[in-house]
Amino acid sequence: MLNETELIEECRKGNRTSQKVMYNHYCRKMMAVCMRYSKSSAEAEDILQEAFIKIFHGIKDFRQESKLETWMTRIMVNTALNAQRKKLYLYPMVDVEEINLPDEEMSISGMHYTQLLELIQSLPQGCQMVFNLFAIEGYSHKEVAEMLGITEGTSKSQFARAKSLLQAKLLKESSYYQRYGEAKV
Amino acid sequence: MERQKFEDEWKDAFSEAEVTPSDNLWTNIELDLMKAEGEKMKRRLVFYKLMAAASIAFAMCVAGIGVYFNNKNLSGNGNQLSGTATQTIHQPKAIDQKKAESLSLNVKANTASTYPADNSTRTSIDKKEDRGDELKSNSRMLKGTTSSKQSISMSEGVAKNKIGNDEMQSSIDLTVISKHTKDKNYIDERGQVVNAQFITNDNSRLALSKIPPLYTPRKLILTFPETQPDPVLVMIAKLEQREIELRGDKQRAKNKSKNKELNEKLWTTIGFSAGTFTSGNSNVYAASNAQNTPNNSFGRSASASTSNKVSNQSKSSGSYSLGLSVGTKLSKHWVLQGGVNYLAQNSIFAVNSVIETSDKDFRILSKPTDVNHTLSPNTMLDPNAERVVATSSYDVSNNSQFISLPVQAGYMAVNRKFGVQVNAGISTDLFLKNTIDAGSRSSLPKATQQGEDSFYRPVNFSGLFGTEFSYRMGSHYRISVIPGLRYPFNSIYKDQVQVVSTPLTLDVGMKFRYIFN
Repeated sequence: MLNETELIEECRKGNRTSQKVMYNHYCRKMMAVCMRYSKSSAEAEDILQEAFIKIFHGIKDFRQESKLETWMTRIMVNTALNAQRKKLYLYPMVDVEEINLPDEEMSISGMHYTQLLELIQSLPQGCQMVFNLFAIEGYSHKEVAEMLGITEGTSKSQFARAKSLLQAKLLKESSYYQRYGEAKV
Repeated sequence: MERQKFEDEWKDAFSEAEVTPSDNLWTNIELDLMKAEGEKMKRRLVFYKLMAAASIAFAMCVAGIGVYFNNKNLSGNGNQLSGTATQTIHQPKAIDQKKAESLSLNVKANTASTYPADNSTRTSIDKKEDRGDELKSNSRMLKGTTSSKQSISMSEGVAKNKIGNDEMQSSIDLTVISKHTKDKNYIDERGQVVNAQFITNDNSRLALSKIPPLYTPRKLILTFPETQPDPVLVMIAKLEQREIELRGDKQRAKNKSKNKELNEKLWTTIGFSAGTFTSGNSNVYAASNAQNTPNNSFGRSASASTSNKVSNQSKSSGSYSLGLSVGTKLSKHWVLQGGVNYLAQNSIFAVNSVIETSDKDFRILSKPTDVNHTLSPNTMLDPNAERVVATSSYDVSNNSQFISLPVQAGYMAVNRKFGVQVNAGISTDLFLKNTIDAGSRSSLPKATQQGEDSFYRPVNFSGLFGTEFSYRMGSHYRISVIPGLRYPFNSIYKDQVQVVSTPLTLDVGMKFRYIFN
């Protein structure tokens, strides 16, 4: 069983077996990342495939300054963003009006991430990107703005919109569950 | 704070999120990886190909520039050709060595006039693909020499040489016209004045049109240095030759030394010997004296008086022989000799009796019956009977002659220039005659006996033994000294004589040998 360093070294040599081991170890997590940035599984798999090829080609330049998972996640995000830039070009993000957010923020505890994925995928494209980058990846609005080529204000407004939409949906589902007594999954 | 609890909840919710992709995703990834590797290799190959093409193009450019400048220099120097000129140009490396040896072309241009300035040479050189060396001459004056250079000189006539080379793509076609037409000018298809000494045929006209104006055909003379033999191989060959010579010398020396021993295969010898012989235990006269002494007092006294004077041994004896022989070599050390000798034995001894004949004469004992005469009463009473009469002692010379046929085998102990040979054999002695002569008593006639009337055995056999010391003179002659002895196996007298005599002859001989081979 190879450790991470040995695995990286073998992948640098182009060892197909080692590459497959690396894929099998990280593909599920990376798939979850790709799912957040896409609207469907097929789109996510495309992003995942392209990203892994980039990973195997670019692993020679990986200096192991960070964790391999972190590095791979960054590549996944960049690949997803590159894939979505066309759509963002077609549908540019603009500042949105301030939305009156509900006073109570709905908690998502007890909710499975598959449900949450569905909620994120239901967001508009721009909101989905900004929400993923700010809320889940942890970038600042300034960094998000630089990555997406928008202004910081646009990033904030898009995030607020994403947040209000998500909360509205969470509220709706919560009332639905209360009405019909369906157990939260 | 920008981030609120809401964002952190979402972040934590997806921290361990995993979604399983489809199974064929890895296959797609693998295919993409392989495709990328192939493209990388292809790109690398394309790069190398481009590099190779660029290198070749660069080399050709440099070569072309070099040829251009070289031709430019030659055209400046070669516009005037006077007398006989020979140009030697080494063939490029691309041509096979063997083919190149047969491609030597030495063109002697006997020109008396200069070329036109605009077209220095009219000889077009077209090289066509043709294996081997094809030399065609339309003129009787075309001479070709088959040497390492294989130079071809064209003094007259029209010659057409085609030199083939697989590596070189152009063709060489050299046409030279007889020098008798050198003064005539010729206008080619392009309207240029051409020295008629060099005309072009149809093929070269076309080639001329292809050749740019600045191009000056070059006369190619292929010369190759004569192959020098490898010095190491030469040395080895010399050493081998020397070894053979030494071996040959040794063999010759050996044969020579062998020949020294074996070169005397057949010879003939002439020789003579002289010696003495002992009469053995008695002689006939002593026996006769003893037997014929009267058995009376007178006889006994007479005998007694002379008995002291009777000697069984001769006073002196001598043996001489002269003969020819032939010898041959049987092996390295053994020889066989045979011949014929004349043997004479002479002895002087004292006798004290005579034979009184019926005529009252006296004679010497010379007959076998003389030995048996006794003074018997009957003999004494027969007045006609011969009888032995005692006398005072007198010397008698007894000379016997034989023909000896010796056959001897010899062992060559030393066979060099100086030789030592031990001979032994048997001689057949044929009695010839015996002469008895009482010299002091001239009144006594000589008595000669031979044949059946003699008391000597007509044929006798004797043993021979001798040692031959020889010295070789030249390649055909050898002189020898042979001390030897002879001893008859039987008495030399007949049995009826009842006297046994086997004289031992000791002699020393000299032989002169002529060697045939």
